[in-house]
Amino acid sequence: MIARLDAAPKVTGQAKYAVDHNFPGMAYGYVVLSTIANGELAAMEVTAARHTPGVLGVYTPFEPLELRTPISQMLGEGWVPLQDKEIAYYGQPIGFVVAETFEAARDAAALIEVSYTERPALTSFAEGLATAEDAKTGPRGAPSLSVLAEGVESIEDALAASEVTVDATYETASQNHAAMEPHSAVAVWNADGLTVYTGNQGSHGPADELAQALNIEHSAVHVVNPYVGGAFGGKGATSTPAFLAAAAARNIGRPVKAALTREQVFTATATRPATVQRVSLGARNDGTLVAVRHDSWSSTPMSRSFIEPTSHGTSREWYATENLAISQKAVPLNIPPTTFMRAPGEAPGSFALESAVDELAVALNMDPIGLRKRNNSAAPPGEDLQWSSKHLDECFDIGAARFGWSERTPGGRVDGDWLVGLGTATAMFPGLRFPATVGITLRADDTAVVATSGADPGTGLLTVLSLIGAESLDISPEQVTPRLGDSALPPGGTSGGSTATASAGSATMVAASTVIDELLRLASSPGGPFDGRETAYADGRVFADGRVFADGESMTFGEVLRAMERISLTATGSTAPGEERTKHSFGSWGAQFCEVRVHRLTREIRVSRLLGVFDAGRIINPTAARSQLLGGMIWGVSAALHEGLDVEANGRFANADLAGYLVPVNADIPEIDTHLVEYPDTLLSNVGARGLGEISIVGVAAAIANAVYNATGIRLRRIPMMLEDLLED
Amino acid sequence: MLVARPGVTSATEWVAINACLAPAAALAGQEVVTSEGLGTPEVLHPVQREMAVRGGSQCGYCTPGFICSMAAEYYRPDREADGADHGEVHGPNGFDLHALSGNLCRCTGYRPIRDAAYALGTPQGGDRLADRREEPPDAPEATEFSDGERTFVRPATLSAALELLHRNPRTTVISGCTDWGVEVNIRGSRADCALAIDRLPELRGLVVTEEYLELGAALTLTEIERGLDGRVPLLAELFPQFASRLIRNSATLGGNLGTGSPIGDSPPALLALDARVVLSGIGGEREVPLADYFTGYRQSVRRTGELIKAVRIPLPLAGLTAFQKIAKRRFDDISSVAIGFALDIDEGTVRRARIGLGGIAATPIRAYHTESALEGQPWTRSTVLAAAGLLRAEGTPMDDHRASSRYRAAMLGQSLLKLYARSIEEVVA
Repeated sequence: MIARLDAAPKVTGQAKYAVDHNFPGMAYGYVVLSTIANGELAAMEVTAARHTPGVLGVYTPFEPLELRTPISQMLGEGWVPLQDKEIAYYGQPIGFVVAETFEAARDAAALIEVSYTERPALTSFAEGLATAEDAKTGPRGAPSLSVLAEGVESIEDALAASEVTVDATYETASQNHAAMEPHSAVAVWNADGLTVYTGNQGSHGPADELAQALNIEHSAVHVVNPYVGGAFGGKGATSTPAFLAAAAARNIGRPVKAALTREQVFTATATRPATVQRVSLGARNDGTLVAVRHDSWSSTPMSRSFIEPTSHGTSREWYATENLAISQKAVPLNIPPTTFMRAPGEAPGSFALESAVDELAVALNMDPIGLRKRNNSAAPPGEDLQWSSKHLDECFDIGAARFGWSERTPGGRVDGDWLVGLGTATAMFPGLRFPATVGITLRADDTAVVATSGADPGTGLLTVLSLIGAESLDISPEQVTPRLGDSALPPGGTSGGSTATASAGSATMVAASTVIDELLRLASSPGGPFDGRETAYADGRVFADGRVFADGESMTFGEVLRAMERISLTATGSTAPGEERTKHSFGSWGAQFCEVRVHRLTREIRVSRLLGVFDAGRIINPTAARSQLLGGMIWGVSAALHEGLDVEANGRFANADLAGYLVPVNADIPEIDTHLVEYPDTLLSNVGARGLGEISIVGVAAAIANAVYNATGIRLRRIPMMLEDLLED
Repeated sequence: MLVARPGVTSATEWVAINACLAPAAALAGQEVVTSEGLGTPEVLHPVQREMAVRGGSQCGYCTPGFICSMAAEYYRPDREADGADHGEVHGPNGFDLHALSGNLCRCTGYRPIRDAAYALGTPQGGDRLADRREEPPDAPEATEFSDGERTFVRPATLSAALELLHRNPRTTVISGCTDWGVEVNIRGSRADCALAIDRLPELRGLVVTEEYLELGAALTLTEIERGLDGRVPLLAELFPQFASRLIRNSATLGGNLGTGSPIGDSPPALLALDARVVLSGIGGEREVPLADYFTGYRQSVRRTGELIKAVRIPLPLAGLTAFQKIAKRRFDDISSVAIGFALDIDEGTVRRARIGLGGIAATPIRAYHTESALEGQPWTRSTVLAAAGLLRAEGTPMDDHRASSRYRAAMLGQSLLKLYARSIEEVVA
């Protein structure tokens, strides 16, 4: 069986992504970006560009396309290009050229002469630390928080009273999602309104934002994205090409296609912030944690679009401790917008916390797994709500046995020219769900459609919908057609927060039971095939007299509909997070294991083995789940060894392309495996799944750094690791 | 995409190349297959089926590229199954994982992709593309395209190419387009006249004489790699580390020298081999030692109107050679430092030393001081330690986001220690 329903069109090149859509009369747009990081546009000389053959329109803040600032439920106030002359970062969209061909638009764009009134730019994170400010209160609460045991005055006192302490500062680099599909859109206006083909994480959001930005009725905007070439948090907000293509298409009265170039993606979208984190841990000699302090600084653009909640995403919840203090600062810089990227908070936060726990294990001369198990939490510190389903110790036990952890020695081992070390780390990601509505249509041909507006940017949601739909309707998956990626469908299944399976899955179950109730009512209604009789449903059939048994009098749902001369029967089901959050805390957990090899002469670091054991609730599609988990772990390798945006003094990214911004190739990937302990979490939702798109990246970078320490005795506290950090003088 | 090219062990081979770097005009008259042409959703090609079944396609955006790279390896005539899984090298079906090093997947489905690659069987009877290998490919046609403003020319002979270059010195010479294609894509570069020399027969010879090995400038790196088949150990060590198979299938040796990049991968190896460059112009040919070829950042002694015709490597080859490239990513990465070594050691004494360095100055350079310090000395740990100290000081390495100058300098010294350690191991073995 194929691993996912959309595999066949993808492997044959038939899958149509946003820019694969073409329309008669279509024009092409090219986005122009700023080349300073702070200041104001003084003038833009566009005469030459406008007179380039084939050019249809040149738009700038001096001659803008009208766009209003949209406000989204999930993301707050948005940003639309070309509406003012202020420049807050290098690579900010400041113009849009539309022409008969892509090349004509690009060549004309190169002729635009921009003059600026430049102001000094603050681009260095290290320098910006001096002017850090408290982060705003976000979805995870106030920036600072402390939990202190009775009689303890402060976290400093708790640390001072600890028998063993460690205290270190860690750094993580700014990163870009670098999805393979650059942000792009094709916008087409007709009598009914606007249709925009654009990759996103749930088409309802962009439809709403586009309607607001263009000042038209919500019902007049249709956003379509059946295939999305990767998102990872970077396609949550409506993209600059989508806003500009839609507005320009209205202006010139022709369809417009626009895509960012690979280089533009790095600045004209948004990135993961850089972080500095100081972690202090205090413990008793037996390894019991008594104090955890985690202070975080996150880079953020001048618009303060997003900060990386590293303390809140990790130390706030992970370990049992009597005393806890966390703080979160924002460091506003003249850098491109920041946003969610796969495991926001948890991924960089775990590098700090899980490195610090390893440092504590060294200080205590304790096994790092033993230390973690000793401090396993039943509930977040200072809270009463216990974890709904937590099997972290089992993850460590299984992983240790499979990985050969017992053979680890404190000083690593030597294999020829290679120094070999083992490391481990905890992984955790909160169990969340979002409001979702799913529509199910039973059809007279005995097939069913399960539909919601969300996206499958490679996550596997499309196949999950068909599997949960089939299970809920008690029919085979082959009878189910799942549909996603269309704002005309019921809103749900947004790809974000590892929620799509729990959210859309539980709504599918509600929709299924509703549509089955309607079917039964229809079957027993006057004129129905079971008029006035009790009915029951099983195996895709309606049974007479409410009795389900083999050879019982029954009809398939298609037969019932045909008997009633109906083409189809539709119902929707909605779910939302609610009461469960007052009863339990929710999270997925995991244990990461890593073996690294460091060359004794060149200090090159090779990750040679990885194993992740995860507790993520019920698994719907094991093949796709494995791909997701392996992919996340490889992201962790990438964060540890490769990925980092380099900001030059003038605010330009030095490595904004895939030759300079390194992501792994196949040969960088070692022997890698995953294992799942499957405990359905039905306290979170009826589906029992907690989602696993993000958890597997968490902890990997720390496991690698811990393994490097085991191999070399050198503690690396910044990622991506630089080989020279391992040079011995 | 896949292009039908002359094969090494069969008349035609299906070669995977980067579509984004190939000018459409350069493919005139040639046979091209894309993932759309391999199979359909209803009737999947074996490569497509394995990728679908094993979960190798996630968001799917990179998938067609992986399918083409995988298909090229599927059809490689000398791919031999030995039944043993060699992990990151090749599968039990003989699938060389390097075939996929030029493709990026951001869902990072590398393990399911490898599962698919290693599960492939051999092409069955009636396979159209397998059968196609028996017949020679269509040769590229001598062509000239013009839109009135700009021209693309593929001449039939070297003399025609040199004539055109002489007439119009502003001509952009293109071969595999792996450098110029990037200029076009990233910087929007345009050539008034692009001159394609990659199929000129005079530039495609691989000749062995008593005195030297001659490598045609327009041979792709893959063609040289397979044509030499390990005959020059230093180059055999270089090729797997040179970009990726996908790039090596287009990139040429002449192009790598012609662009004059200080971080090109071939110059350090060729400098160590004492290679000479054959330059051809309408006035005739001349031969220049590669060590004298580079004159400054992307500058060389090549005159306007001259083409690199071939590279000559003197024979016999040195006994102890090595190529070391230090890069952050395993493949498809620019080197932080690249070093080529070629040493003749006779009865424990270094008779002759050649060391080529890349990534540490405005041009590739020879490590003359270190070479002198080694020559005439016993090949011992103390000689090597002293020479390593000198090697660290050769060149003027820079700080950048890949590595610091301190690291680059340190790696130069370490590379000699690494060579020494390996040579001792070889003796012991």
